[in-house]
Amino acid sequence: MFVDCDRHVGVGQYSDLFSHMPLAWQRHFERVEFVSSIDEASNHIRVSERWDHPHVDVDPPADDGDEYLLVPHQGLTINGWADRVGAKVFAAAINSYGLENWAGPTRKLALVVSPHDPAWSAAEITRLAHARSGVGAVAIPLGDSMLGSFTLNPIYEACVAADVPVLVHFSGVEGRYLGAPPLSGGVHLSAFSRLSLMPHLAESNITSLVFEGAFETFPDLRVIFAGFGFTWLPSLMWRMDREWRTFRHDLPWVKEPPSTYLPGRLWVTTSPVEEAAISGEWDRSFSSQQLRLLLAFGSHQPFDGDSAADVTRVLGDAAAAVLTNGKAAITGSRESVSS
Amino acid sequence: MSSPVRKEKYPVVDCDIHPMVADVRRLLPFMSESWRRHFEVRGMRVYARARDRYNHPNITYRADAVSPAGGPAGSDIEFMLATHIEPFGIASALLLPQQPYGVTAWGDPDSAHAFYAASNDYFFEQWVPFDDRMSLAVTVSPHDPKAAAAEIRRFAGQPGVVGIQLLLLDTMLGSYTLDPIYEAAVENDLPVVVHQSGSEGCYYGSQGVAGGVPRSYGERHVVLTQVGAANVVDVIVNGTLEKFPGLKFVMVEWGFSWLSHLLPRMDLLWQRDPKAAPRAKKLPSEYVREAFTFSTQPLDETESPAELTALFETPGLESMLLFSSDYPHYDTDDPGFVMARIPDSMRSKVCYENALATFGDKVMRFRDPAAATA
Repeated sequence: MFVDCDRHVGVGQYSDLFSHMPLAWQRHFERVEFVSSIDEASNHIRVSERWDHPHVDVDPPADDGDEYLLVPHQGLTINGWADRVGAKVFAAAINSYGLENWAGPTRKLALVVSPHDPAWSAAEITRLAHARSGVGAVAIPLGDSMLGSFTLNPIYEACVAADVPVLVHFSGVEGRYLGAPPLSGGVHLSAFSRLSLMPHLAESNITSLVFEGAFETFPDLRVIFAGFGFTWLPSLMWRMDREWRTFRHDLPWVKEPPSTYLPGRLWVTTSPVEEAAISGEWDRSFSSQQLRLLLAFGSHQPFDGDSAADVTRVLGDAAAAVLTNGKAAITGSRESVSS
Repeated sequence: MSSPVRKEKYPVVDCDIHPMVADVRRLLPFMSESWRRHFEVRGMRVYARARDRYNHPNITYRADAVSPAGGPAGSDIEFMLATHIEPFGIASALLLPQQPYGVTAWGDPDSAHAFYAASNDYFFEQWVPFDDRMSLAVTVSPHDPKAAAAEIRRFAGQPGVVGIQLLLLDTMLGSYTLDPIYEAAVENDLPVVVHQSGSEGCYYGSQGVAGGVPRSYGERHVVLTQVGAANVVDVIVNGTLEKFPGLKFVMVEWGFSWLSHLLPRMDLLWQRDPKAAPRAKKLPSEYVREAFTFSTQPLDETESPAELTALFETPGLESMLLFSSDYPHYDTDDPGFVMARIPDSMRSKVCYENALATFGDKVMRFRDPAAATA
């Protein structure tokens, strides 16, 4: 049995969402170009310059005993929308549709919220918290501010109150659409470059959460970074600790070494796990059990992702725990997430 | 300099030393009359970082690097020799003048060129002949790549000139606009040395970290190495090394621990879809091993012996690392600190062999390396 913290789901056509919107917004979204843009929006997650892709089934997996955190990849792309008002309507429709059609006994939905309107996002989280059995996390598309910004505090407060983790996953428009967060360096026209460098978004935002004191303000906050790989994490922790030692007088709100904030609060998912196989030394970087508890299985399916067998092959003895660590991330405990 | 110090048994090439002009007006005699008047009237900005945006919480240099004779830390060559070069057995010091970094905040290509050309003349005349251990990387900027290429050719072949310090604007290293610079570099067998300037994340026109704007200096410093990684990716994806076989890059102060996750990631993505990066004709990691070297400073401080071992296990790393101190900055690494952490099998390579392979014999122009052992 495994807990998959990165299983993507989507609608086959945007009209599926219309009944979950106010009528006036249905009229807004039913325009030809938006409706036909679903292919474009659905493929951002691939971060690819291949314009034709084989069809993939984005329906949720069957109830088969394994547990899933469902991540609506189409919803994540609102971080590239110019219309930040319409983006909220879209996100709310996905959340409503998802709780009605996707969530199940072993399938929990990551609600999509807006990083551009934390107050609205907090209300959305609270509104849907009564459907606790269906809500597994809150997905914050990456926006203008890094995740440690105090402007996002309403979202974190709502997440802690609802006892659900934040989930962070790239949408695929980062570094490409104006208004979405930049990638490192300059402008990367190449999708290959952007995909190679996507983990930097996780690094920057984890650093932001720690160095802005988000885990001091919200000690019960849990955050899952999904789809970014994981082999970069130890070197990030070393650097954070080193810089804190040098500049701690400038950061009095960071009361402890940065790395100590992460256990029990941060998880990073495994996909693409093959990176660790190629590197060959992941297990020595993740030398402590405490570090390995930060890893959680995330398949990134159905987008050329990993299976549980892939994780077992690459991570060996560590795989059994990693395959179920997501339980602690989602529920805060190791009891079953099944309702 | 604090004691005790211990000379390494190998000669040490320090690939990151920042000499300073004690008074930047000393560069004026190295300029034309019209440029002298220009800078006398308009002044010279010799730092890159926007200090009102990211101000350093402390001071950026170590107090014991300030000479009793005065001037900024790093401006007194005799003091540097006595307190850093000699005590640590530095057999060759790669001089990366810091004041030219300020031109990355300048908008005018011509004044930028005039400034860094004067800086190059100054250090070539005042520092290089002073001691055989001084090795200079002449500074150029991408404001005007053709002018930069001419500057490279002006110094090519001169004793003591071993590399090119290329400053970065928002143009990444893989851009074809830099081709004139690379052509001159390869033609003259001079590696391109790329150091953080301080402008990163400060301006439109500079490169930055992923995700947005870090709030504090310390937070920014954690992730600043990302810019180096981004430029490595850019070189490979744009086929720069296919266009210029033999071109070498020396990445200074960008760290190296990220190689262990970036290289496998790039290789995996390329293996899955080589046509996604069609200008890369082989595994990305092969390009990096062939053409890139990385300085040791700042050396990551690991938590356990296993992690320390892992830090140095990236395949091929033993031939990619160059010792560096970053003297006279606040976070200088001395050779003893670094060598105590490097596997014995890598020591001679990190101390000097990789530097010889990268820069050629000209980086140790003074004598037989064996004669430099303690």
